[in-house]
Amino acid sequence: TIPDDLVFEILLRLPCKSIARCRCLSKLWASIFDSQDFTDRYLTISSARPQLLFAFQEYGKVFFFSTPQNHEHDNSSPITASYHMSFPVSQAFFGYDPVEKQFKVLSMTFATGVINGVIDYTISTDHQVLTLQAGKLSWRMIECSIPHYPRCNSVCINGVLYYIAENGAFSPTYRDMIIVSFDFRSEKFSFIEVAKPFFHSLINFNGKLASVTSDSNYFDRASTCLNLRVLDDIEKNEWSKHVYKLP
Amino acid sequence: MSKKIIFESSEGESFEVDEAVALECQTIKNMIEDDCTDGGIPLANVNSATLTKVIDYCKKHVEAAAAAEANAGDKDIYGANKDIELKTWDEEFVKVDQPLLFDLMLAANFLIIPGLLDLTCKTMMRGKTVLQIREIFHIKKDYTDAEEAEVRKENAWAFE
Repeated sequence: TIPDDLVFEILLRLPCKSIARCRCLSKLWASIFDSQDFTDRYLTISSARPQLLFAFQEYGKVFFFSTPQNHEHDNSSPITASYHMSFPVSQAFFGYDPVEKQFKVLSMTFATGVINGVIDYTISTDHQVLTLQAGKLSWRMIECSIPHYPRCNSVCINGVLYYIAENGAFSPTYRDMIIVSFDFRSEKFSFIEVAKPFFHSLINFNGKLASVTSDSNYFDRASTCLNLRVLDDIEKNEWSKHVYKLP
Repeated sequence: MSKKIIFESSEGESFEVDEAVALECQTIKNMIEDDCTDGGIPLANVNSATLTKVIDYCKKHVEAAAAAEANAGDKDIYGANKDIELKTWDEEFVKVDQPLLFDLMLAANFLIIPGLLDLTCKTMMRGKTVLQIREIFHIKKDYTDAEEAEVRKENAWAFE
Protein backbone atom coordinates (compact mmCIF):
# COMPACT_ATOMS: atom_id res chain seq x y z
CA THR A 1 0.00 0.00 0.00
CA ILE A 2 1.01 3.60 -0.52
CA PRO A 3 2.33 5.37 2.60
CA ASP A 4 0.13 8.20 3.89
CA ASP A 5 2.66 10.93 3.18
CA LEU A 6 2.82 9.86 -0.46
CA VAL A 7 -0.96 9.73 -0.75
CA PHE A 8 -0.86 13.36 0.42
CA GLU A 9 1.76 14.21 -2.22
CA ILE A 10 -0.31 12.56 -4.95
CA LEU A 11 -3.51 14.34 -3.94
CA LEU A 12 -1.71 17.70 -3.83
CA ARG A 13 -1.02 17.40 -7.53
CA LEU A 14 -4.57 16.76 -8.63
CA PRO A 15 -6.49 19.36 -10.61
CA CYS A 16 -9.38 20.79 -8.62
CA LYS A 17 -12.05 18.98 -10.58
CA SER A 18 -10.46 15.65 -9.69
CA ILE A 19 -10.31 16.74 -6.07
CA ALA A 20 -14.05 17.34 -6.13
CA ARG A 21 -14.56 13.85 -7.54
CA CYS A 22 -12.23 12.31 -5.00
CA ARG A 23 -14.14 13.97 -2.15
CA CYS A 24 -16.94 11.60 -3.01
CA LEU A 25 -14.75 8.52 -2.57
CA SER A 26 -14.31 8.55 1.19
CA LYS A 27 -14.77 10.66 4.29
CA LEU A 28 -11.12 10.18 5.09
CA TRP A 29 -10.10 11.75 1.79
CA ALA A 30 -12.64 14.52 2.13
CA SER A 31 -11.10 15.36 5.51
CA ILE A 32 -7.62 15.49 3.95
CA PHE A 33 -8.86 18.00 1.34
CA ASP A 34 -10.46 20.10 4.09
CA SER A 35 -7.33 20.32 6.23
CA GLN A 36 -5.55 23.66 6.48
CA ASP A 37 -2.27 21.90 5.75
CA PHE A 38 -3.58 20.61 2.44
CA THR A 39 -5.14 23.87 1.29
CA ASP A 40 -2.01 25.85 2.21
CA ARG A 41 0.28 23.53 0.28
CA TYR A 42 -2.13 23.27 -2.63
CA LEU A 43 -2.16 27.05 -2.89
CA THR A 44 1.66 27.18 -2.81
CA ILE A 45 1.92 24.65 -5.62
CA SER A 46 -0.72 26.27 -7.78
CA SER A 47 0.72 29.77 -7.26
CA ALA A 48 3.88 28.50 -8.92
CA ARG A 49 2.00 28.34 -12.22
CA PRO A 50 0.02 31.56 -12.49
CA GLN A 51 -3.25 31.52 -14.38
CA LEU A 52 -5.44 34.24 -15.72
CA LEU A 53 -9.05 33.96 -14.71
CA PHE A 54 -11.71 35.31 -17.03
CA ALA A 55 -15.35 35.73 -16.32
CA PHE A 56 -18.04 36.97 -18.61
CA GLN A 57 -21.71 37.36 -18.22
CA GLU A 58 -24.43 36.33 -20.58
CA TYR A 59 -28.09 35.46 -20.14
CA GLY A 60 -27.86 36.18 -16.42
CA LYS A 61 -25.12 33.65 -15.91
CA VAL A 62 -21.44 34.12 -15.26
CA PHE A 63 -19.03 31.86 -17.10
CA PHE A 64 -15.49 31.25 -15.85
CA PHE A 65 -12.48 30.47 -17.99
CA SER A 66 -8.79 30.29 -17.21
CA THR A 67 -5.60 30.20 -19.18
CA PRO A 68 -1.97 29.72 -18.16
CA GLN A 69 -0.19 33.02 -17.80
CA ASN A 70 2.50 33.26 -20.42
CA HIS A 71 5.90 34.28 -19.13
CA GLU A 72 7.21 35.08 -22.57
CA HIS A 73 6.58 38.66 -23.55
CA ASP A 74 4.93 37.73 -26.77
CA ASN A 75 1.99 40.03 -27.22
CA SER A 76 0.47 38.34 -30.20
CA SER A 77 0.53 34.71 -29.14
CA PRO A 78 -2.90 33.11 -29.25
CA ILE A 79 -4.13 31.67 -26.00
CA THR A 80 -6.42 28.81 -25.27
CA ALA A 81 -8.68 29.09 -22.29
CA SER A 82 -10.39 26.22 -20.58
CA TYR A 83 -13.93 26.50 -19.36
CA HIS A 84 -14.64 25.80 -15.70
CA MET A 85 -18.07 26.59 -14.49
CA SER A 86 -21.00 28.90 -14.71
CA PHE A 87 -23.62 30.00 -12.26
CA PRO A 88 -26.52 32.36 -12.29
CA VAL A 89 -25.80 35.69 -10.75
CA SER A 90 -27.52 38.99 -10.25
CA GLN A 91 -24.94 41.16 -8.55
CA ALA A 92 -21.98 39.98 -6.56
CA PHE A 93 -18.90 41.60 -5.07
CA PHE A 94 -15.73 39.90 -4.07
CA GLY A 95 -13.43 40.91 -1.25
CA TYR A 96 -10.63 39.86 1.02
CA ASP A 97 -10.48 40.38 4.76
CA PRO A 98 -6.77 40.64 5.59
CA VAL A 99 -7.36 40.21 9.33
CA GLU A 100 -9.20 36.90 9.24
CA LYS A 101 -7.44 35.96 5.98
CA GLN A 102 -10.75 35.11 4.36
CA PHE A 103 -12.18 35.63 0.92
CA LYS A 104 -15.83 36.61 0.97
CA VAL A 105 -18.55 37.22 -1.56
CA LEU A 106 -21.38 39.71 -1.11
CA SER A 107 -24.37 38.96 -3.27
CA MET A 108 -27.75 40.59 -3.70
CA THR A 109 -30.83 40.26 -5.78
CA PHE A 110 -33.13 43.01 -6.99
CA ALA A 111 -36.71 43.87 -6.43
CA THR A 112 -38.76 46.53 -8.10
CA GLY A 113 -39.76 49.46 -5.95
CA VAL A 114 -43.17 51.07 -6.44
CA ILE A 115 -43.55 54.79 -5.87
CA ASN A 116 -46.93 56.52 -6.08
CA GLY A 117 -48.29 53.51 -7.85
CA VAL A 118 -45.59 53.67 -10.53
CA ILE A 119 -43.11 50.89 -10.89
CA ASP A 120 -39.76 52.48 -10.54
CA TYR A 121 -36.17 51.85 -9.81
CA THR A 122 -35.13 48.48 -8.62
CA ILE A 123 -33.47 48.16 -5.25
CA SER A 124 -31.25 45.50 -3.87
CA THR A 125 -32.72 42.96 -1.48
CA ASP A 126 -31.72 39.62 -0.04
CA HIS A 127 -28.16 40.62 0.81
CA GLN A 128 -26.13 37.54 1.44
CA VAL A 129 -22.54 36.81 2.37
CA LEU A 130 -20.50 33.74 1.61
CA THR A 131 -17.12 32.90 3.10
CA LEU A 132 -14.98 30.98 0.65
CA GLN A 133 -13.40 28.15 2.58
CA ALA A 134 -12.84 24.45 2.57
CA GLY A 135 -15.85 22.47 3.67
CA LYS A 136 -19.47 23.31 3.41
CA LEU A 137 -20.26 26.71 1.93
CA SER A 138 -23.34 28.49 3.05
CA TRP A 139 -24.82 31.90 2.37
CA ARG A 140 -25.75 34.05 5.36
CA MET A 141 -28.51 36.61 5.08
CA ILE A 142 -27.52 40.02 6.36
CA GLU A 143 -29.40 43.23 7.02
CA CYS A 144 -29.08 46.38 4.95
CA SER A 145 -30.86 49.44 6.34
CA ILE A 146 -30.88 51.68 3.25
CA PRO A 147 -32.46 50.49 0.02
CA HIS A 148 -30.07 51.17 -2.81
CA TYR A 149 -29.17 50.21 -6.32
CA PRO A 150 -25.49 49.56 -7.18
CA ARG A 151 -24.44 51.62 -10.18
CA CYS A 152 -20.74 51.51 -10.64
CA ASN A 153 -17.50 49.72 -10.15
CA SER A 154 -16.38 48.54 -6.76
CA VAL A 155 -13.08 48.56 -4.96
CA CYS A 156 -12.02 46.61 -1.90
CA ILE A 157 -9.53 48.34 0.39
CA ASN A 158 -8.27 46.72 3.54
CA GLY A 159 -11.24 44.42 3.89
CA VAL A 160 -13.82 47.12 3.16
CA LEU A 161 -15.74 47.13 -0.09
CA TYR A 162 -16.90 50.43 -1.63
CA TYR A 163 -19.27 50.93 -4.49
CA ILE A 164 -21.42 53.70 -5.88
CA ALA A 165 -25.15 53.32 -5.64
CA GLU A 166 -28.34 55.23 -6.14
CA ASN A 167 -30.51 55.71 -3.15
CA GLY A 168 -33.42 53.40 -3.70
CA ALA A 169 -37.09 54.07 -3.70
CA PHE A 170 -38.89 54.90 -0.45
CA SER A 171 -35.97 56.89 0.90
CA PRO A 172 -36.28 60.65 1.32
CA THR A 173 -33.18 61.28 -0.74
CA TYR A 174 -34.44 59.05 -3.49
CA ARG A 175 -32.11 58.66 -6.46
CA ASP A 176 -29.24 60.58 -4.91
CA MET A 177 -25.87 59.05 -5.36
CA ILE A 178 -24.20 57.54 -2.34
CA ILE A 179 -21.17 55.46 -1.71
CA VAL A 180 -21.97 52.20 -0.02
CA SER A 181 -19.28 50.62 2.08
CA PHE A 182 -19.38 47.08 3.30
CA ASP A 183 -16.98 45.80 5.93
CA PHE A 184 -16.21 42.20 5.02
CA ARG A 185 -15.06 41.47 8.56
CA SER A 186 -18.02 42.75 10.59
CA GLU A 187 -20.37 42.20 7.62
CA LYS A 188 -22.03 45.56 8.17
CA PHE A 189 -23.13 48.14 5.62
CA SER A 190 -22.60 51.86 5.96
CA PHE A 191 -23.11 54.79 3.64
CA ILE A 192 -21.14 57.84 2.66
CA GLU A 193 -22.98 60.82 1.24
CA VAL A 194 -21.27 62.39 -1.71
CA ALA A 195 -21.37 65.78 -3.30
CA LYS A 196 -22.19 66.24 -6.95
CA PRO A 197 -20.89 66.32 -9.66
CA PHE A 198 -20.72 62.69 -9.56
CA PHE A 199 -17.88 60.24 -9.54
CA HIS A 200 -17.27 57.81 -12.32
CA SER A 201 -14.97 55.30 -10.86
CA LEU A 202 -13.63 54.40 -7.47
CA ILE A 203 -10.02 53.47 -6.99
CA ASN A 204 -7.62 52.56 -4.24
CA PHE A 205 -5.27 55.55 -3.86
CA ASN A 206 -2.46 54.68 -1.45
CA GLY A 207 -4.86 52.72 0.69
CA LYS A 208 -7.50 55.47 0.64
CA LEU A 209 -10.72 55.55 -1.27
CA ALA A 210 -10.60 57.91 -4.21
CA SER A 211 -12.68 58.77 -7.23
CA VAL A 212 -11.59 59.79 -10.69
CA THR A 213 -13.54 62.07 -13.00
CA SER A 214 -12.74 64.23 -15.95
CA ASP A 215 -14.06 67.69 -16.80
CA SER A 216 -16.11 66.28 -19.61
CA ASN A 217 -18.52 63.52 -18.74
CA TYR A 218 -16.32 60.76 -20.04
CA PHE A 219 -12.65 60.27 -20.62
CA ASP A 220 -12.40 61.25 -24.25
CA ARG A 221 -10.83 63.82 -26.57
CA ALA A 222 -12.75 66.62 -24.89
CA SER A 223 -11.15 65.90 -21.52
CA THR A 224 -8.57 68.45 -20.50
CA CYS A 225 -7.97 67.44 -16.96
CA LEU A 226 -8.37 64.62 -14.56
CA ASN A 227 -9.90 65.16 -11.15
CA LEU A 228 -8.90 62.97 -8.31
CA ARG A 229 -10.82 63.19 -5.06
CA VAL A 230 -9.35 61.38 -2.12
CA LEU A 231 -11.32 60.53 0.99
CA ASP A 232 -8.84 61.59 3.67
CA ASP A 233 -11.05 61.18 6.69
CA ILE A 234 -13.84 58.71 6.45
CA GLU A 235 -15.41 59.72 9.81
CA LYS A 236 -15.64 63.41 8.89
CA ASN A 237 -16.31 62.69 5.21
CA GLU A 238 -13.41 64.96 4.21
CA TRP A 239 -12.24 64.80 0.64
CA SER A 240 -9.20 66.44 -0.89
CA LYS A 241 -9.21 67.35 -4.55
CA HIS A 242 -6.29 67.00 -6.92
CA VAL A 243 -6.43 68.20 -10.50
CA TYR A 244 -4.09 66.84 -13.13
CA LYS A 245 -3.86 68.65 -16.46
CA LEU A 246 -3.97 66.36 -19.44
CA PRO A 247 -1.55 67.06 -22.31
CA MET B 1 37.65 12.54 -15.01
CA SER B 2 34.74 13.22 -12.77
CA LYS B 3 34.25 11.48 -9.48
CA LYS B 4 32.15 8.33 -9.54
CA ILE B 5 29.59 7.19 -7.03
CA ILE B 6 28.57 3.57 -6.67
CA PHE B 7 24.98 2.57 -5.84
CA GLU B 8 24.07 -0.90 -4.74
CA SER B 9 20.54 -2.11 -5.44
CA SER B 10 18.50 -4.35 -3.14
CA GLU B 11 19.69 -7.37 -5.21
CA GLY B 12 23.31 -6.39 -4.53
CA GLU B 13 23.99 -5.21 -8.08
CA SER B 14 26.41 -2.26 -8.41
CA PHE B 15 25.72 0.85 -10.51
CA GLU B 16 28.48 3.35 -11.17
CA VAL B 17 27.37 6.92 -11.91
CA ASP B 18 28.99 10.33 -12.22
CA GLU B 19 28.85 12.35 -9.05
CA ALA B 20 26.91 15.06 -10.91
CA VAL B 21 24.15 12.54 -11.65
CA ALA B 22 24.05 11.30 -8.06
CA LEU B 23 23.78 14.90 -6.85
CA GLU B 24 20.28 15.04 -8.37
CA CYS B 25 19.18 13.05 -5.31
CA GLN B 26 19.02 15.34 -2.28
CA THR B 27 19.56 12.38 0.06
CA ILE B 28 22.76 11.37 -1.75
CA LYS B 29 23.87 14.99 -1.97
CA ASN B 30 23.74 15.19 1.81
CA MET B 31 25.73 11.97 2.10
CA ILE B 32 28.37 13.24 -0.34
CA GLU B 33 28.64 16.49 1.61
CA ASP B 34 29.04 14.48 4.80
CA ASP B 35 31.70 12.45 2.99
CA CYS B 36 30.24 9.05 3.71
CA THR B 37 29.90 7.57 0.22
CA ASP B 38 33.14 5.59 0.10
CA GLY B 39 32.68 1.94 -0.70
CA GLY B 40 29.30 2.49 -2.39
CA ILE B 41 25.85 3.41 -1.19
CA PRO B 42 23.60 0.47 -0.41
CA LEU B 43 19.96 1.14 -1.34
CA ALA B 44 18.20 -1.74 0.38
CA ASN B 45 14.74 -0.62 -0.66
CA VAL B 46 15.38 0.11 -4.35
CA ASN B 47 15.59 -2.84 -6.77
CA SER B 48 17.78 -2.97 -9.89
CA ALA B 49 14.99 -2.29 -12.40
CA THR B 50 13.88 0.82 -10.49
CA LEU B 51 17.42 2.02 -9.89
CA THR B 52 18.21 1.75 -13.62
CA LYS B 53 15.24 3.99 -14.38
CA VAL B 54 16.09 6.45 -11.61
CA ILE B 55 19.65 6.79 -12.93
CA ASP B 56 18.29 7.30 -16.47
CA TYR B 57 16.09 10.07 -15.18
CA CYS B 58 18.88 11.83 -13.28
CA LYS B 59 21.29 11.55 -16.25
CA LYS B 60 18.76 13.05 -18.64
CA HIS B 61 18.00 15.93 -16.30
CA VAL B 62 21.67 16.70 -15.65
CA GLU B 63 22.27 16.76 -19.43
CA ALA B 64 19.22 18.94 -20.01
CA ALA B 65 20.32 21.38 -17.31
CA ALA B 66 23.82 21.57 -18.83
CA ALA B 67 22.37 22.17 -22.29
CA ALA B 68 20.05 24.85 -20.95
CA GLU B 69 22.99 26.59 -19.29
CA ALA B 70 25.01 26.48 -22.51
CA ASN B 71 22.09 28.12 -24.29
CA ALA B 72 21.40 30.61 -21.52
CA GLY B 73 22.82 33.40 -23.70
CA ASP B 74 20.09 33.21 -26.31
CA LYS B 75 17.02 32.91 -24.27
CA ASP B 76 14.40 32.67 -27.00
CA ILE B 77 13.09 29.75 -28.97
CA TYR B 78 15.92 27.43 -27.98
CA GLY B 79 15.26 27.39 -24.27
CA ALA B 80 11.60 26.84 -24.94
CA ASN B 81 12.25 23.97 -27.31
CA LYS B 82 14.53 22.22 -24.88
CA ASP B 83 11.86 22.58 -22.26
CA ILE B 84 9.29 20.91 -24.47
CA GLU B 85 11.72 18.17 -25.42
CA LEU B 86 12.41 17.39 -21.78
CA LYS B 87 8.70 17.32 -20.99
CA THR B 88 8.08 14.89 -23.84
CA TRP B 89 10.95 12.75 -22.59
CA ASP B 90 9.46 12.78 -19.08
CA GLU B 91 6.09 11.72 -20.44
CA GLU B 92 7.64 8.77 -22.27
CA PHE B 93 9.71 7.96 -19.21
CA VAL B 94 6.68 7.30 -16.99
CA LYS B 95 4.89 5.11 -19.52
CA VAL B 96 5.57 2.06 -17.36
CA ASP B 97 3.38 -0.47 -15.60
CA GLN B 98 1.74 0.40 -12.30
CA PRO B 99 4.12 -1.55 -9.98
CA LEU B 100 7.22 0.05 -11.51
CA LEU B 101 5.61 3.49 -11.38
CA PHE B 102 4.85 2.87 -7.73
CA ASP B 103 8.47 1.80 -7.04
CA LEU B 104 9.76 4.86 -8.87
CA MET B 105 7.59 7.10 -6.72
CA LEU B 106 8.83 5.45 -3.52
CA ALA B 107 12.44 5.76 -4.71
CA ALA B 108 11.95 9.43 -5.64
CA ASN B 109 10.50 10.04 -2.19
CA PHE B 110 13.29 8.18 -0.42
CA LEU B 111 16.15 9.65 -2.47
CA ILE B 112 14.43 13.06 -2.53
CA ILE B 113 14.32 13.79 -6.26
CA PRO B 114 11.63 16.51 -6.37
CA GLY B 115 11.17 16.44 -10.15
CA LEU B 116 10.71 12.68 -10.29
CA LEU B 117 8.41 12.68 -7.27
CA ASP B 118 6.26 15.32 -8.92
CA LEU B 119 6.22 13.42 -12.21
CA THR B 120 5.32 10.05 -10.70
CA CYS B 121 2.70 11.50 -8.35
CA LYS B 122 0.99 13.22 -11.26
CA THR B 123 1.08 10.09 -13.38
CA MET B 124 -0.31 7.93 -10.59
CA MET B 125 -3.84 9.26 -11.00
CA ARG B 126 -3.84 10.07 -14.70
CA GLY B 127 -6.59 8.39 -16.68
CA LYS B 128 -7.75 6.34 -13.71
CA THR B 129 -11.39 5.50 -13.14
CA VAL B 130 -12.95 5.82 -9.71
CA LEU B 131 -12.90 2.03 -9.40
CA GLN B 132 -9.17 1.87 -10.20
CA ILE B 133 -8.45 4.61 -7.67
CA ARG B 134 -10.33 2.66 -5.01
CA GLU B 135 -8.15 -0.38 -5.78
CA ILE B 136 -4.83 1.44 -5.92
CA PHE B 137 -5.39 3.28 -2.65
CA HIS B 138 -7.41 0.56 -0.90
CA ILE B 139 -10.19 3.00 -0.17
CA LYS B 140 -13.05 1.68 1.87
CA LYS B 141 -16.42 3.24 1.37
CA ASP B 142 -17.14 5.05 4.63
CA TYR B 143 -20.10 7.10 3.41
CA THR B 144 -23.60 5.83 3.93
CA ASP B 145 -25.68 5.77 0.75
CA ALA B 146 -27.50 8.92 1.85
CA GLU B 147 -24.24 10.72 2.66
CA GLU B 148 -22.74 9.68 -0.64
CA ALA B 149 -25.74 11.01 -2.53
CA GLU B 150 -25.41 14.29 -0.62
CA VAL B 151 -21.67 14.73 -1.28
CA ARG B 152 -22.18 13.80 -4.94
CA LYS B 153 -24.84 16.45 -5.22
CA GLU B 154 -22.52 19.07 -3.73
CA ASN B 155 -19.78 18.13 -6.19
CA ALA B 156 -22.00 17.48 -9.17
CA TRP B 157 -20.15 20.07 -11.26
CA ALA B 158 -17.05 17.86 -11.27
CA PHE B 159 -18.96 15.00 -12.88
CA GLU B 160 -20.41 17.03 -15.74
